[in-house]
Amino acid sequence: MAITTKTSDGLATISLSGRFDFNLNRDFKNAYEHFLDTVENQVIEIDFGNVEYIDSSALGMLLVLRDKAKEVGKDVRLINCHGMIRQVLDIAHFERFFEIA
Amino acid sequence: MHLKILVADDHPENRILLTRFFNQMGHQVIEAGNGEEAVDIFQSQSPDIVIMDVMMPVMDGFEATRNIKSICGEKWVPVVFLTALNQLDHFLKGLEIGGDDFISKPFNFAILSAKIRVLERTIEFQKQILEKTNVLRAMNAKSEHEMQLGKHVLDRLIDRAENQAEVKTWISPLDLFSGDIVLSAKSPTGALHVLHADSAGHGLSAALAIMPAIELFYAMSKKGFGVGVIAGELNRKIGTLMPKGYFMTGTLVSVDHLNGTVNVWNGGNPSAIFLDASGKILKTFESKHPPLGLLFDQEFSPVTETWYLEGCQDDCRLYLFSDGVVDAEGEGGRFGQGKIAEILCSSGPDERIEEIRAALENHISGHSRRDDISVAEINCSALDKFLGLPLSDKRTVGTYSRWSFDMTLSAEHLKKLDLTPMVMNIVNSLGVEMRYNSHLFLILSELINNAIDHGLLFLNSQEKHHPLGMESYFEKRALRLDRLQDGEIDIDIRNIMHENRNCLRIAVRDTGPGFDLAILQNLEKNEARHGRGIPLVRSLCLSLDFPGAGNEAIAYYDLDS
Repeated sequence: MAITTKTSDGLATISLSGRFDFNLNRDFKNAYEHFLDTVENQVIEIDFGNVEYIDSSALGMLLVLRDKAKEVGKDVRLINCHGMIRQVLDIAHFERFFEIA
Repeated sequence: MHLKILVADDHPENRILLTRFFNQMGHQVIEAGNGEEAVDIFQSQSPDIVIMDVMMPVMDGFEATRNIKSICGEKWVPVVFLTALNQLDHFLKGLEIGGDDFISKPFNFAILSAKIRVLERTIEFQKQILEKTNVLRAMNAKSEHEMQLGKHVLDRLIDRAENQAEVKTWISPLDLFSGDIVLSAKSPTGALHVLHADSAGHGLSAALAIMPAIELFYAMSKKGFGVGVIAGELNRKIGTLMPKGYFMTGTLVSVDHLNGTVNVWNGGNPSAIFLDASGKILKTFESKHPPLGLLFDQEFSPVTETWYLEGCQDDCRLYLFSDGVVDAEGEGGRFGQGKIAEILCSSGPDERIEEIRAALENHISGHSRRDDISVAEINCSALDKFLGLPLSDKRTVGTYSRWSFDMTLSAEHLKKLDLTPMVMNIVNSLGVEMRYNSHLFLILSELINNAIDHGLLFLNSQEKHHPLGMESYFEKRALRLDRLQDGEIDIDIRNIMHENRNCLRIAVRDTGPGFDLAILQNLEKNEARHGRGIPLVRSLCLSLDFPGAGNEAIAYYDLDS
């Protein structure tokens, strides 16, 4: 699992690849934390394009990010949610908590 | 470091030489004249290093080393062989049987002291590792003990008398603990309640989070709350107790033969599948809600999906799965929802769980698992005509002091509250034994529903008795209740003596215009066929009357029975 980040025009993108599960807890947190402190980034995108697998603890990590982002007035978007990822998010009705694309 | 060195050599002059040298380095020396002596001393004095000659009488150095290495166990005690320079085979054999180094004769003291210092560092390092290992071992043993205790408690919490025979399960935890649970219980009117919950993650933390849900489910089912309301309480409880980002997916099912319904609330679990005996899928209950513990009360929806059993053949069963089944990875990817449906449809009703289990185990063999796995089967077969649950034999001796209460509820209350369990709570706290609850619950809910449905919502219960009428009846009911603005229900309950019996007088009145007694009689005839409704209430009571315009019902229930 690898995490890469980039920013452009107020949009911060965190791209994940491989398995998104509890093993990624610390790296994922490290990846988003400085975006929360940066005033220019109003939106944080999580790119699932290269994610093969997502489990329930990863869903929990997304919810924690959402709460933290809300506190500082930022939005979290989940993008490139394909196949299995989309299915898992749909079953958990995560459209209630995130903008999903 | 001050070391204890055992020197084993049959030549006294060698021993003297080495003893002097080691003493000068600040170490203590113990001497042995042959291999056997060396082994004995090793056992009684536990030296830190052994210097071992090869050729010795009684027992040679190789044999002695073999013995010593088997004695010292976890503690590492280096054995250094003394070999002549030209005896390469001795040197190799010594290392082979467990020796750690060698010193060639005649001794070069500079090399000897350097080697001892290297061993000294290694021994120190080894000692630290052993200490840490022991600490870890103690912690591990403690944690293992606590896990066993936790498992014992959790098993007791789950494996309870309340669990019902209609529910069969296969649960395969990833760890000692399962984060997946299946619980079942009966409501006071005999409806079967099932909770299939999957706590986020797995292992102890997941199982811990499940504990509060267990008690809540049993307690609320026993009090007769509907599964949607129970889901709401679970959502609140988990949201309050657990840290941010934690949740529990859950499916709640109610199989109610009195109303002929199967109600499902699915929050975050894979679709539940409902089939008849031939293996035809009648309905799938998809996840309609986010998992439990995430929404605020005002966002939460208790709405369930309903299937009407009327007209269904016997032996219909509902199957519930955790995501551990659907997402199990193996040959060719995930197990998948399609595969599950395929197996269910093609297996005999009694073999379905076993077939799923076999196929899944085959699928994941050789692949690593990541989640708890659970499957539940709920048999929805209609029981014989329901006449209230039998009263339990357990009596408590108590004295009643007479009481009465009267409550009037407006349209707003009727929309929000689950009236029957609420009233039953009061009745129980006033001293009416729980063993009467199944009867009283039934009487109260029938009378209250009659008053609401016919008195205030003007629903025609004839409709219920047409094939597939139940569904449209309940749809209309929900719609009209939502729009209801005027109207009240009055519930008056008294503990009195009536015809020399200790009785409950239960009166339920609505503000509607009342109805024709002829219609009532017709209604009773119809309901008698279904074994429910007013005739059922009548059979449980000393008497049931509809005085006046038909907008009031008065029942007397015998508390001496």
